[in-house]
Amino acid sequence: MESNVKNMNLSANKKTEKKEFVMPEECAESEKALNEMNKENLKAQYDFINLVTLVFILLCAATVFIIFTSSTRYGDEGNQFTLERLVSGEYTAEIQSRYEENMPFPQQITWLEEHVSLLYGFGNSVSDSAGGGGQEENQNPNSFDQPGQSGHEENSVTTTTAAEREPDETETSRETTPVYETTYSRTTEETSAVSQEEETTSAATTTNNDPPGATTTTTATAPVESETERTTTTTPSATTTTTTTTTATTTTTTTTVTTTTTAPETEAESAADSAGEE
Amino acid sequence: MSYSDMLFFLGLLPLSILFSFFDRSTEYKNLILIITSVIFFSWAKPLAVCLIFVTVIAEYFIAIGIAKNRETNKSTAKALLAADVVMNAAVLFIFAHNYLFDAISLLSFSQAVLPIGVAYYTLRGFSYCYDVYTGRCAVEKNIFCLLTYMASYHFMIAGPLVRYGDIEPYIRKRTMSGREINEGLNIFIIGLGKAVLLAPVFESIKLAGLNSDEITLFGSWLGIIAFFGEAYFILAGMSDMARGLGKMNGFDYPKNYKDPSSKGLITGLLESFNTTVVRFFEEVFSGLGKGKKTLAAGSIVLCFVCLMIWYEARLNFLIVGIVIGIIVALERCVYGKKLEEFPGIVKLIYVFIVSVAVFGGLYFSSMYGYGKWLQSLIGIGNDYQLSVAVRDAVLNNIVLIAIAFVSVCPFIRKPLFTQVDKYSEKSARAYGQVRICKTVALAAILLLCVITQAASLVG
Repeated sequence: MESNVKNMNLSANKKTEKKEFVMPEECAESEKALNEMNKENLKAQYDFINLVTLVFILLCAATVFIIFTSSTRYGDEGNQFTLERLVSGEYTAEIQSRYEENMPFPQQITWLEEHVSLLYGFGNSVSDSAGGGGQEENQNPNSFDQPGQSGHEENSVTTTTAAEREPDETETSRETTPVYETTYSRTTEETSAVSQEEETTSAATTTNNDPPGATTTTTATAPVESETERTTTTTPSATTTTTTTTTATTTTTTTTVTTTTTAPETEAESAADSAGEE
Repeated sequence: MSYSDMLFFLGLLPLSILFSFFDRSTEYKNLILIITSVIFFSWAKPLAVCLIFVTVIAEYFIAIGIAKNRETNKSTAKALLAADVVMNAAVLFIFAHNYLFDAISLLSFSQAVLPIGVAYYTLRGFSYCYDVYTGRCAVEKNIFCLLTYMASYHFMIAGPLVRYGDIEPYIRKRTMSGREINEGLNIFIIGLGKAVLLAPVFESIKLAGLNSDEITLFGSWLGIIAFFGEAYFILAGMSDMARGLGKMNGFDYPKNYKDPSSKGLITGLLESFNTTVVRFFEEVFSGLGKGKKTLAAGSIVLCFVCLMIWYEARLNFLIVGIVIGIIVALERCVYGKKLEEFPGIVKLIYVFIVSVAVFGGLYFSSMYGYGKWLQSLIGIGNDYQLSVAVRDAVLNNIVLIAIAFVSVCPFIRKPLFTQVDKYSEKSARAYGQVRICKTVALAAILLLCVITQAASLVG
């Protein structure tokens, strides 16, 4: 047996082996396939990282907002489960309102939101992060709305003559909305026939298309030759007094506008006005 | 409940996905989907559950009746289809447009028992019966499958309008894997960002420009553009969220909002917005206008009138529908081909001016306001050029506006993304860098959305 082994030509076998198992050169296609596989693997890895990151954030947020709550009630306390309440929607509405009204760390969230909003653009301040002052949809009248339209209903103004006006009427209206006072002084010079006209309409209702919520006093004084004098007081509680003296032709007109603001929000408005006029 | 509600995306959605993985069978996944949808749909509005079950049963039997009579007795099939139209229209007007019945106490809901997404729900129901009638899809014998289609919360709020024939294979057999959840979550977060972060920016500009006590030139222009932007980002955001939710649950829905473009003139612009719904309406009404040219034009006008009424049953929507219908009919039958030959800039100006002037009518409830706004666009009756409120609203959100602009402008976005793709193909490291940046961006959007939503609840 041993002799048989010795007689075997091992080197010949080695040669044939070499010939049979010569590794072929990598073809272009296989390299392409390998690259594709690598890409797929890489994509799968980063997909996994992406998924884990996002799910982690979602779960953290969910946990924070469910576990930490500023509510002093626990479980179904105060929200009894009955079929009647479930059908009427009270049960689920109570869950939602409790969840939404008892957000944990309310001050910190507001602080965070305000500071994050600083990144959204220029001029954001921490106290007024919404910006633009555009959130006052229902507070401001809409200039595009039809006069008297519901929703943005503008305040109607009652016009009375100076003679008919009660002495304390203006005072009451001044007390109600003394937001800002604007004084217009207009002087018109022209030599012509002078006609004095006094409005006799009593309690006629007109609709003011300009922003209400303000007390406006307009006084126009004219020199001797021609005079145009108008005094108007406009308030949301609706009292306007108009006395007009008109002269026919005009040549020179001088207008002086004085605005006195008495409320902080009005300052912004008048600033806006003046900026716009500029 | 809405997709952007924290209770939904931090509570119901993760639970629904988690429960869906407990069993591989599609029937089980459908059951979980139906349960989630019923909770979502009927949250604080339990009447919706009854509405779903009643209408699904009705649709089921009407469709069977249509399928039986479609070949043999066409008039009966037509009558059944008409009955389906009446039923869905009744549900739409009573539940979605309930403000029409303010004077009728019997039909008016003072406490707003108003299930969300009824408009899409009714349209989906009708599309199923219509497809059975036209032979586009076979009648469904399994009511459980039909219930899955009708009640799915994915496309409940802002579409897309998915036809039963397209979704049926997924209802029968679908798989859910990590890859799909990842893709779906990415799409969902992008949609959430559009609805929660971008849409309010445009809302603030719109309010500053059009809802203020002062009329300004820039306020009128920017206000109306912001009005379009707000509508686009809310609806496109909701639609993206719907696509993402569908993807997470193993469905694949078509894209419903394309980049606004002047290529197809006004017709093309209309088809890029809520594409699936516009195409369905056009398909339904194209059958009416076969033959004569005038009949075809009339059916186009009718189509857009119905589309606008479907959106909102108000007078200004009706008028805009008529005008848009006439414009589309003219483009298709008269001057569309000639205008297509003009240079791109001319088409862009045409589309911009016509769309601003016509769709601006959707914002104003009266002709007085609309007329005043049109005048202010050309500088008549303006107090001044730019108000402080509008300027602040733009400057305070300039970064978000720039992001929004890039996201809807393909001529900026596409080259940018091409460059990023080229860079990522350079090496594995570059690819990794790009992917990490994307993940960080998505995580940031998600966090910002959570913070914004939480702050809105706190504030």
